[in-house]
Amino acid sequence: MCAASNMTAAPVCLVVGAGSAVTTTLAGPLAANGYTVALVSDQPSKPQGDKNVTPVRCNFDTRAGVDLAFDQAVARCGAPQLLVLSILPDSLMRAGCIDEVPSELWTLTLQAAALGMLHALQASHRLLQRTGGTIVLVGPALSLVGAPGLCALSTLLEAQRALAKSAARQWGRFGIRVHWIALGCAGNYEELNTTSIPAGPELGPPPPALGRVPGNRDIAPLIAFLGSSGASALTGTTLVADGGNWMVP
Amino acid sequence: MNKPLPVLKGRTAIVTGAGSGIGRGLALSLAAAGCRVVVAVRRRSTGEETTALIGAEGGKSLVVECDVTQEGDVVRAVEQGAREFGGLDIVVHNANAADSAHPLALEDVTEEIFRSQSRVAWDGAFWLARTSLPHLKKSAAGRFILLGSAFGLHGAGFNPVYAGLKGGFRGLSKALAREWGRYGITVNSIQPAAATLPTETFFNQYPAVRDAFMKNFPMGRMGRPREDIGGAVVALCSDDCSFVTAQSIQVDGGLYTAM
Repeated sequence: MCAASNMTAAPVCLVVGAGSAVTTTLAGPLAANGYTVALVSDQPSKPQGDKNVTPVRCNFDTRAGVDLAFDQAVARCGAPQLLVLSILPDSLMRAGCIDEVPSELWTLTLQAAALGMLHALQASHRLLQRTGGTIVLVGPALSLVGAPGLCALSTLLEAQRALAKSAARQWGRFGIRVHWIALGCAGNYEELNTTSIPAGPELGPPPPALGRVPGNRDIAPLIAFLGSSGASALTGTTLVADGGNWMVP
Repeated sequence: MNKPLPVLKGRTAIVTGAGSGIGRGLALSLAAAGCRVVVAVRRRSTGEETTALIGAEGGKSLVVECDVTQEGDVVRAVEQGAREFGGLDIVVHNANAADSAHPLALEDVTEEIFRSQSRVAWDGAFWLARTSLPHLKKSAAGRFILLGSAFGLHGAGFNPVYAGLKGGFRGLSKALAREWGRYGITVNSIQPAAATLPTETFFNQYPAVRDAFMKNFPMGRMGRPREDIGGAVVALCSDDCSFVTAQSIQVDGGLYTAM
């Protein structure tokens, strides 16, 4: 449970995630960057020893379920200035070629995940429409270059990225800024079947330009920057935080 | 109009949503380039209008009733076309939900609205990909083309579901291109900006919006479904573009200049 004193002392961030563990592992580093964090998840597990992270269970299947969870998070931690969203079902991470995947994975799981992100964005708008604030969507960078065997995931990610841009266009007038961060896969998405993901555009298998794929401890300060007044001129951006691997576009 | 070269002579294409607008333009353009065209439509009467236009120019086509949200319909359309025309080389998924152009705030989108559009765009693409793959593998020039939208690139101030679904096509086309490259099949998406009946109707209601919008086009006009969008699709399907894959191509007269 968040300490009452923190509700006024520290800015509040809702880290919202379904499926992928990335959001869980982002919660601690964001708390270390000065945020009081509510971890709103379908499988909330509090990072050990981090008293500034409050887990809240969420059902992403309906708008009402997401609104309820967000309200619980606000009641326990205070109104947020920053929301971090990631909706990535594990089953999409290890799908297979399009002619092999079960039909349900496409017609149900993929579209439920897209709807889950839509619900999360709508609930975020409800919280921020009077105060303004920042929404950051996070996902693997693979959709920017395509990955065989991951058609459904690539479709979902690019759809979420386009939704983020539409939200940025529609909600800028409320002072709401919306961004997409594309993460390198290695180290950040252990559940992802990385065997078929193209390594990079360079000859051979060199490391990224920065020598390694950034992890959550690198990403948390980037998210904190996007939530700060220093980023007030930015919205609708895609930041590729893969250590300088693909350098797209 | 000058008669185009028959660069696709002997090939067979299926075009979804070919009963009007861009889809009809694509069907006419592919037929004029020598393709036999499976005109896949939800309402037979609109498809028959398209096949009549193709026939009047000496082209070959077949109309098949097909609700792309239904796997059985897609299977029937693909198999009937392949059977009657002796194979399938080109798949163009153009169909959109009837309500996809309605302005809507993102916060007002309901699950029903999302699903009605996603089933046409995404399920349709899925059923087409799975059903057509065996035929495209046999073709020496397999092509799979998704009709996207510039909204999928830059977001939409009034049409977020459409933008999201079309954005998804960018990811799908790149991933599928990587999957199918080993079969010699190219996969691309096209982002058109074309004048269609709904667009014209809207602009006739709001002429000031038309005037402002047209200033954004370096070419000074919107695209023509057949000549401009269809011409690009024919080029992509020709042998000259057999090494072009995984691309998201703007066919918009320079409207969106960021990529």
